[in-house]
Amino acid sequence: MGITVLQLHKRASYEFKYIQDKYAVNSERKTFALADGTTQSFNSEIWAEIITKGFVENPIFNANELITSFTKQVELYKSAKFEFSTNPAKASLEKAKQNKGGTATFIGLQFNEQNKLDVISCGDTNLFLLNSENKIIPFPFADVDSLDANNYFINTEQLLQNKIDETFFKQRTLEYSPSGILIIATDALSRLILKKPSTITELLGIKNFDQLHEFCLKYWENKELQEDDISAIIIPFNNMADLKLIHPPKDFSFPKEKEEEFIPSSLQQKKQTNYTDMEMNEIRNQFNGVAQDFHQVKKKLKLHEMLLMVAISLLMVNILLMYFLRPTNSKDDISNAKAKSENAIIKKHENTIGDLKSEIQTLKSKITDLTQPKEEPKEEKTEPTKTSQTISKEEAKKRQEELIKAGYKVTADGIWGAQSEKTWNEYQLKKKDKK
Amino acid sequence: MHDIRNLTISSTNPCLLVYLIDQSGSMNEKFGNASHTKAVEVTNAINDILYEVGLRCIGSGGELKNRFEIAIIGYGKQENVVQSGWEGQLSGKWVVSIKNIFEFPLGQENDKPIWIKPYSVSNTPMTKAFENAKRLCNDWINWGNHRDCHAPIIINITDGEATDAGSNFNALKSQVEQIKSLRTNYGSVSILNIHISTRAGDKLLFPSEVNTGDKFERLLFEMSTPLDENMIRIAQQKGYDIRHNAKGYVFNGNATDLINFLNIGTPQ
Repeated sequence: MGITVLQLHKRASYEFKYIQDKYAVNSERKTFALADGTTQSFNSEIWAEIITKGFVENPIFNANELITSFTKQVELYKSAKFEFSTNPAKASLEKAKQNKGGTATFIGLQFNEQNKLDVISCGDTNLFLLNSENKIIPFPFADVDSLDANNYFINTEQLLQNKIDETFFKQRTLEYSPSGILIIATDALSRLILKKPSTITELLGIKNFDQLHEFCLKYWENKELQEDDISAIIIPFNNMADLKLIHPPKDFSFPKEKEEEFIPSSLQQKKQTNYTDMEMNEIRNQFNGVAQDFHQVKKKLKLHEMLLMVAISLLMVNILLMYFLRPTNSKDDISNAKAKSENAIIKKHENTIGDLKSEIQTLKSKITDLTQPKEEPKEEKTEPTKTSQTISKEEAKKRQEELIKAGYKVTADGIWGAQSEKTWNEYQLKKKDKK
Repeated sequence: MHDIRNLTISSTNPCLLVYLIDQSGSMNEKFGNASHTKAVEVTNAINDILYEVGLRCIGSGGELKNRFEIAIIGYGKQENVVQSGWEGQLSGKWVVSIKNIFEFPLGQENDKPIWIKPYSVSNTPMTKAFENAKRLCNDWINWGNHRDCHAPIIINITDGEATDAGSNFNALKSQVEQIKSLRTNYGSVSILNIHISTRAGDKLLFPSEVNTGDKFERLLFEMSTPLDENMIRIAQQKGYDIRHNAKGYVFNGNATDLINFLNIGTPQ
């Protein structure tokens, strides 16, 4: 087994590129460094990377010299480009954060040839030395309480203001056996190891990313491991030539949490609006108006419904009537009608024939009158006498009055003789002619 | 209960901060020896702390992580009325995530965003304010994964006596006790009180006991919960000499104490 570097970002960072723990390894010089950039400082991951890289290039175990070296590196940190937010409130935060500088913890170490190890540290990144008897030697913090009490960090602005001195650093030279193992870990993992040393065995057994992921998830879910970036460098003293990196693959990310707005239900329910009496009346009036309108609309709808029903009924009746009273095509009816009209025509013609017959009769009698001798009129006279004798005096008088009216010079005495009969017949003929 | 040392306040496990702000008429008085009023001092402190919280949540890529959700509850702006203290586009909201807080500030002063303005209007319905905070915290704890989050922290800033607390302040005490019984898997709800006064001097910071004849001062001290490990650590970092059983109570703190107090109440 060679050197193994384990790294997993916190779930809240989603992607590995946002991890703020940075490390550097120089196998030739057997020099290692690990720094934990603090979440709340500005570009802390950049600062962490600068100080770890600088240390393995030029390892310094004198606190004051190291402070000088770090101070020189602040310039490099400040030269990093940064684009401020377009939101003025956020941009104001970014500027304020920038003014406060970058902050990180730091631990640097180097193996020397006499089975000795030089360590210098600032902050809560810890070291665990496992000797051949599996005894754990932690440094600089031996328990969780002292680790949590740490209040030392390397901040760029404080370096520039000479506010960081040697008291910020802890330095020691440790002896090790060639079969031993060294673990350097950032604070969350260090806290877990200090509380539960048995986790070292699990940690040493991690061979790939899936196992690392599973390890972190298990302790995160059990609330035994702080939700933070997880970093460790495992160094076996007997093989420092090989380097194995175990970190998330490029396509790995933690799921983003749903952004749901919390709305306190009990306070929302209690929310009331106080209206004045006038406003209440106005609301009531408006409500009544709406109710009335609605009532009228309902009424109209009913009327429309009724009219529609009537129209449909009438249509139905019409259809029925048309069905029942449709013209029948029977031959009897047609022949009856024909017969009736024919009878009427016959009757008319019969009447005309009758009239013509009576006229012929009249004409015949006239001709007879004109062609027959005088005696004959006696006979004839007798007949009118007979005739005159057949009508009553009153009838005679009536006829005489009618003749007078028609302009004839007769006397209305009721005596009806042949002359009277002749005049009467003439009158009758004239009357007919006129017609 | 889980070990709070293993808890990192993050967008997946946010923390709720509830600020109760006294907006009663007496807040119009001068703040100590300063030329401005107590209302102005409190408002400036709240705007500053919101900005500080933003600084703790902004990532390297400029993105704001929703590590904190913040409620501002004002009391005394109208008689016996307790309402959301947010203004502008956040008006009417009870709880706002830090991300939205920086999306919708009320304006800017001295190149820094501001969210609230000072008010000093009516009486002091503090019991009602705590009752609202209780319901808010209860709803928040029971929402989503919040049981696995840091317990909410209530910070009450007042200058005087509650006008709706009943005889011997029993109504107010009852609400406070109910709040203290609310908890997540990482502990119970904390209540911190800052008692500001017109008087300069007689400063009392994070005491473990009080010897005072002022019954309301005693009440606020008793209402306050002890500082937890994180708060003690931050307080010590800020130079306060505090004892192990120190309570989250400050009397007559100056402007720096006020900001530090709010900072101490905001977990890292």
